[in-house]
Formats: sequence, C-alpha cells, structure tokens
Amino acid sequence: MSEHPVVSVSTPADLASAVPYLVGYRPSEEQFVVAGLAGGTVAVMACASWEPSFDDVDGDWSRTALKGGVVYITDAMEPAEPDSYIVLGYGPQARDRALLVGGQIEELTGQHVWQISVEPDGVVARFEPQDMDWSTYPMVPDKVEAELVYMGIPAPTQTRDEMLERFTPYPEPTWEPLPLAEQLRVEESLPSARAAEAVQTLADLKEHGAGDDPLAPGRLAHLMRSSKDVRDAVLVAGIEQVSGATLLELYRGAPAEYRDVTGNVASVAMYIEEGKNIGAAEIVSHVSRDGDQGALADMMASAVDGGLPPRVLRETLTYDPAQSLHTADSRFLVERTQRALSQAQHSLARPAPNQVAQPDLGPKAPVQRGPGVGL
Amino acid sequence: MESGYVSPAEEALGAAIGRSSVEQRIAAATGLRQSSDEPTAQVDVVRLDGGKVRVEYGEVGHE
Repeated sequence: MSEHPVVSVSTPADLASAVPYLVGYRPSEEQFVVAGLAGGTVAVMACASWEPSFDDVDGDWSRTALKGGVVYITDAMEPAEPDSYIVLGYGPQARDRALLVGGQIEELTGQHVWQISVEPDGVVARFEPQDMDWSTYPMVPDKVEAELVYMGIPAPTQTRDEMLERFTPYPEPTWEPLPLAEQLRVEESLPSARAAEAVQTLADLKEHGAGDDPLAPGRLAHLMRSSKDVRDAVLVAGIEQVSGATLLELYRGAPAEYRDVTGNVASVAMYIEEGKNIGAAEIVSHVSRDGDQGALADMMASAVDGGLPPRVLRETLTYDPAQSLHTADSRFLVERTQRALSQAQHSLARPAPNQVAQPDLGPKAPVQRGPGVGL
Repeated sequence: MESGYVSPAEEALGAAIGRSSVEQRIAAATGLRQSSDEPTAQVDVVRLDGGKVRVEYGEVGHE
C-alpha cells in the first residue's frame, strides 16, 4: 500500500471533513458512518441509513433491529480486519446514534470504538468515556479536502442519488459503433492482434480522449466484445494503467449493444480504484445476465456483495495474458479452418448450377443435333 | 459467440470469490462472527485497502 499517496488525519474534525470525499457523497442526517481502522490506517468505511426500526427498544432494553444492522455492517467490514472502529453520527441526533451504534460494535467485536458527532451547526465532537462527556473540535475548512482533491479524489456529491448518477449510462450514446467494414476486419484478425490493438486504443483514449480518433471508443468496445480473451487483456491493462475513469466514460456513453462488455470492464476497474460497492454495484446492475457477459457480471456482483477486498481483486487480475491469447489464437484458427471446410463441403453437396431446375421459358424449339451425336 | 467458454479472468475471479466465501464460512462456524440474514439498512461500503489513497489516522483527540 505504500505506493499510494498518504493523507494524515489527526482530529475528529479532519476525519469528518474527509468522510464525504472517501464515501463519495455527503452523508445525510439520516445516515451514520462506521470507519474500520487497521494498523492506524482507515481500511474500510461504511455509510448506512438509520432505519426507523433502529429506534425500537425491546422489553429488556435491547435493540434487536439495530443490532442486526450493526452485525451486517461489521460483517461487511470484516475482510479488512479492523482492529478498532470510529462511528460518526450526523444531524440533531448525532450523539445518541453514535453512542448506540458504537456500543453495539464494541459488544459484537470486542474492539475499541470512538464515537464522533457531526452536528448541524458544524460542530464536531468526540465522546470521552472517562469524562462521560463530549469534547468539541473546530473544523479547519479545506485542509483535508485540499489534500484529497490534490490526490485526484473527486469532489463529493451532495446526495447519494447524485453519486449514483456517476455510474449510470448517459441518456443518449456519446459514441458510434464501428462501421461494418471495420467490424469485419476486427473479427477476422487473431485475438492476440485484437488485444494489442485494444490495449493501445485504451492507452490512447486515456491520454488524448477521442478527439483525434472519433472511432476509437467504438473500436475498443468492438474489440472487447469480439472475444472474452481480448476483453480480459483490456481488463488487465486497465487495472495496471489505472484507466478506470476512461473505462467508466466508455461504458456511460455506450450504445445499448456495447453496454454489457463496457460495463463489466468499468465495474472491475472502478471497484479496484475506488473500493466503493455502490459504484460497481450500480454499473453491474445495467449489465444483462443473459449474454456472454453475464458470467463476469454475476461474479462481480458476488465479489462486491461478499466484500472481496479490491486489493485481492487487483492481485487476481494481475497476470500476463500472453499465454491465454496464444491459446485463443490457436482456437480461432481451428474454428476458422473448420468453418471453411464446412462451407466447402456444403458447396460440394449442393447441386451444380446447371442441374438446378430451370424456369419454364415456354415452348422450346426442337433440339438440333449435330451429325454423329448419339443419345 | 463464446457461450460456455470460461475466460482466464472469470476463472481467477471465481476462485477468489470461492476462497473468500470459505474464509467467511469458517469464521462464522468458529463463532468469530455472527451471521445476519438480510441487510436491515442501506449500506455503502468503501474499501480503502489498495485504493487510490491511504488515510492514516492518528490518535483521535490526542493531537
């Protein structure tokens, strides 16, 4: 992890400033956030809705619904192996909710939990158990935000719904499918050659956009759709080159027939780069499960739901695709040869053109036979 | 076009999900975690291990 830029957060107020950038949107007053720390680093974060049932109190003063919610959250965070937690409550009931959630987490995990409230007037407070009181911290505007923006973290949206829009297809495609002649050229080339062309096209799109080559998005998408091995090669390259933003744009602007393959690749890249289940899950929800791309979409949905760490996904998809492309080339040549043989056999089996029944052309003139011609 | 063909990435991802599920089942079986049926709240999870940025957190309030 040391290759990644580091942001140091040292106060509850700084953490409260950083949360919207890390989550991607500003938590509402009906949400709360749980951060899981591992070795002094924020390893995982969950932003959850406060359900009305969380306020229900049983006869023995327990809160079954809240406990169920907290179990779900800590289970989802478990793969990151947190050794302590921070709970942030929001809005007028921030303090009560932070204490309630924090208490449940402490009971369930046995780990230490800090409780922080982010209040409507901008006050950030932390609960001090030894004093049984809250100490407040001043917000320092723009300190952490500036660092995160400098590191390329997108500014948060105001709401969760606005953030979801970042991962939905545009109302109209922003690029055209490849012309038919080009499609045929692609499909007649070896998978290894297609992969090389696709990886180069991705690199060019990331570097220059589609301005210089308007056919580039259509070409990349058609190359990927033509073979799973080509798609995988783009996936591997996209992860290595951190091309998530380019792949996301390709998917969002895709004509319907290219949405599945571009969505699959974008979901993997975005999950690895941003680590958010919300984005990957939204993208995958737009991928059909019926076609060739259904298997990868199902797997991505399982990986995201099951909390597969992006680090593990990155390691899994970091390999040299040369061997599989070599095998794909051989398979392609065999299939093409078989197809050619089949076509040849088919044409031999057909009646010759002069044996085909002739149309009725009306009364025929008597056949004139030359001398010496016998029947 | 390639119906039935499992690509290398699909194979690797399937194996990784399988390993992850096994770990979770072992953890549940050994009582390390309680399991829940369905999420009772809308939960957005952000995994920062291996992401774009690493956030170090000092001792809260002990600055």
